[in-house]
Amino acid sequence: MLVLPTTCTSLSYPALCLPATCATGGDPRRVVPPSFAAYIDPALRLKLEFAGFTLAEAGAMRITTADRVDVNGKSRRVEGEGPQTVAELGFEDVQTIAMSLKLPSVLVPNLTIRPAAHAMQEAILNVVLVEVSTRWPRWTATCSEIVFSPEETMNRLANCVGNGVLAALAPENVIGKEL
Amino acid sequence: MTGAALAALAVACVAGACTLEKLPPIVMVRDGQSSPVKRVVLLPAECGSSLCRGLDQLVAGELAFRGYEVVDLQRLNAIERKRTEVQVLWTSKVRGVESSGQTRRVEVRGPTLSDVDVWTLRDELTAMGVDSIVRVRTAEIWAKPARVVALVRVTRAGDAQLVASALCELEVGTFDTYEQGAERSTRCALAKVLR
Repeated sequence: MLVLPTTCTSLSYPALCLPATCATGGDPRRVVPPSFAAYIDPALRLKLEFAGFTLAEAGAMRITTADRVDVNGKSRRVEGEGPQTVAELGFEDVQTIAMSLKLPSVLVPNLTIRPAAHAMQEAILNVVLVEVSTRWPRWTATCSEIVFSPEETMNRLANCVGNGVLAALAPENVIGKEL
Repeated sequence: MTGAALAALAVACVAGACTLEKLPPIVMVRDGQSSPVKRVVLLPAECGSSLCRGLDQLVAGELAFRGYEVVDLQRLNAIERKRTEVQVLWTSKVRGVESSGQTRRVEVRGPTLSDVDVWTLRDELTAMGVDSIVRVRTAEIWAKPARVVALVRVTRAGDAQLVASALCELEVGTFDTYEQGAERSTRCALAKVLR
């Protein structure tokens, strides 16, 4: 399957989708990633691959060939103009590319952050596997949780969805099960 | 008296943290269709951090040591690359004092296989006779205690069918870094794939 990076939606307050907005105190040298995908994608993809899916990462799939210049041993890639990877394309184009590569489905993870009771926020991670030929979802997995620590909550949501998929599609591989 | 008690308490806490028993590692192995594996390519993950690159190198090195032919996408030229070398030798004389020196600039231009589009890459890998694709993944589990999980997965290049995969989940100790945990868990998963 072709897997897209996690996107984030927050209708009430879009800045909530930026980890920097939620970062509080702690080590000022800590690097805050530009999106919550950094906390979600590694854990989610790892579990999906262990469940038996072979993932093609949209962000690592180039659609144009870049140039490379090595000067005195230091190497750098020179990008052209326009989108460089599949992850930068619209969904229609992503589907076309998936078809051209004979990838049967596209995984679309989306994180929604919305207000919850007592001035808290709720994060909902929804992961849909869309069949390329029919454009219909084959399955959907959803987990939600009140946000206490942004990093920990997003990571837990990814593990929750990943474990859900493992439990449904490869129950013999649920992590934590006695060997 | 209070200072001594606090110091003793601190020593006890540190000693306790050092000696706390860690959770046993969770190791899981999943075998797919048996398939001859000879020439492999290690696909770099989307994560471009130095840790991810380091773990890829670790696995590539181990695979090469075991006799597998590892195709390095960053070292193979996609097309003929153009090399330009400019060497400048100079001498100058200022108030009778002579000095000299040299500079050298070597520029190599042109894409390697890590820069090509996905269709070209697919065709090139087929032409090179790559039979398997290896993928290394690590993820941090934000929990108490913190854990790190690594996956090493081998798939057949022709039809993306699973050949073997192993997952290893370890607790990151109080005085360990995530990077150290990631390396240990990757080595653990790799050992299970290569068993």
